[in-house]
Amino acid sequence: MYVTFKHLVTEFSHDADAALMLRVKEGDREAFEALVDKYKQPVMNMIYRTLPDATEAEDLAQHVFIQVYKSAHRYQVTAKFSTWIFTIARNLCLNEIRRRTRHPADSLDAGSTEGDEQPAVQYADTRTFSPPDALVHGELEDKIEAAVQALPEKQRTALLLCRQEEVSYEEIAEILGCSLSATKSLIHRARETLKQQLKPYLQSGVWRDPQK
Amino acid sequence: MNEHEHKELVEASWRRPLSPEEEASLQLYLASRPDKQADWEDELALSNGLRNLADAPLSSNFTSQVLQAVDREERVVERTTVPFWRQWMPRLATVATILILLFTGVNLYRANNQNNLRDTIERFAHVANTVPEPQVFGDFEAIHQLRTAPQFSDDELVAVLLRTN
Repeated sequence: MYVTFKHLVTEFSHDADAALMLRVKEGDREAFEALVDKYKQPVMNMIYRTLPDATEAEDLAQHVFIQVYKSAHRYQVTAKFSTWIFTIARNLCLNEIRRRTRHPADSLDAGSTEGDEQPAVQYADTRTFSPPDALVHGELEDKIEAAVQALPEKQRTALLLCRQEEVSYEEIAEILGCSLSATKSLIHRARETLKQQLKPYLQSGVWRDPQK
Repeated sequence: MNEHEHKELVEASWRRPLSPEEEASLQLYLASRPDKQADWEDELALSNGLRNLADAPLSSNFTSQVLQAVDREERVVERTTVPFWRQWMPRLATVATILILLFTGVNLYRANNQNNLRDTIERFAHVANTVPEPQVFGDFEAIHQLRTAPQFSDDELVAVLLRTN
C-alpha cells in the first residue's frame, strides 16, 4: 500500500512537472521559476558531489537550468522531466570534468574521473579504530561525503540519484545510458565500497538511528 | 521470505525507509539467517548516513540569478536575430564612407596629375614658341666649347687682339 501511494504521488508530481514544462515551452516564466525552485536543490546536490566547490557547482547548476530553458522547445512529454534535467546535469558535469582533464591546472582531484574504475582516493584502514559515539555528526558526514566523492563517476551518480525517491531505477539507467541490471550493479558496488571504507563508523551505531 | 525477496527488500531500503510490514518480514528472515544480520545492519546504517547527508550549499537568490541569466541569454538571442538590414546597416555605412573617401581621394589625385600635366604642356608650348630659328644654333658647338676653354685675363685678350690686328 505504501509503495502504491508513493508511486501515485510520484506520478502526479511528474505530470505536474510535464505540465509546467509545457508552459515553459510556451514562454511562461512563472512555470520555469516553479521548476527551478523545485529542482534546484536536487540538481545542486548531484553537481556539488561531483565538483566539490560550492561556487563552481552553483555556476554549473545555473547552466543546467539555462540549458533547460533554451531546450524547452525540444522537450517531449514522453520523457520525464526529472530524467531529462538529471541527464543535462550529468552531461554538463562530464563536460566540466573533461575540460579540467585537458587543463590539469584546474583539474578535480583524481578520484572524480570518468568511468567505472576503482576509486583513486583510498582511505586508511581504520577498522581497529572505534570512533566514540560522541563524535560529532559533522565529522561523520565529512567522512561519508569524502567517500562518496572518491567513487568513480558512474557509481557516484547512480548512488546519488538512488537517494532521489522520485527517480526510479529505470530512470537512473536512462540517465546513465546503461541497462537496469548494470545500474543496480553500479549502486551495489558503490555501496560495497562505502561499507568497506566506512566500516568503523557504520559499526559504531551512530547512523543506525534514522532520526539522528 | 526467500533469498530473492530479501535482495529486493534490501534494494528497496537503498531508496526509502522500509514499511513496518517489510521491516517485520525482514526481521523474520534475519532471525533464520543470523549470518546476514551484520550485513543488513551495515546496509541500514549506510542508507541512513546517505539519507542524512546535508544538502549542498545553495545561494538564497539562486532562482533569481537563474532568471537573470535567462534574461541575458534571451537578449543575446534577440541580438543575433535582428533583421538582416539592421544587422548590416552600420557595417554597410562604414564601408560606403570608406569607398566614398577612397573615390574622392583617387579623383583628387588624378585631377592634380592632370593639372600638373597641363601646366607642363603649357610651359613646354611657351618655351617652344620662344626658341629662335635653327640657324641661330649654327655656332652652338663653338660657343658651347667656350665654357671648357682655358680662362684668359682681359689683358691677355687685349694683347691677342692687338697682335691679330
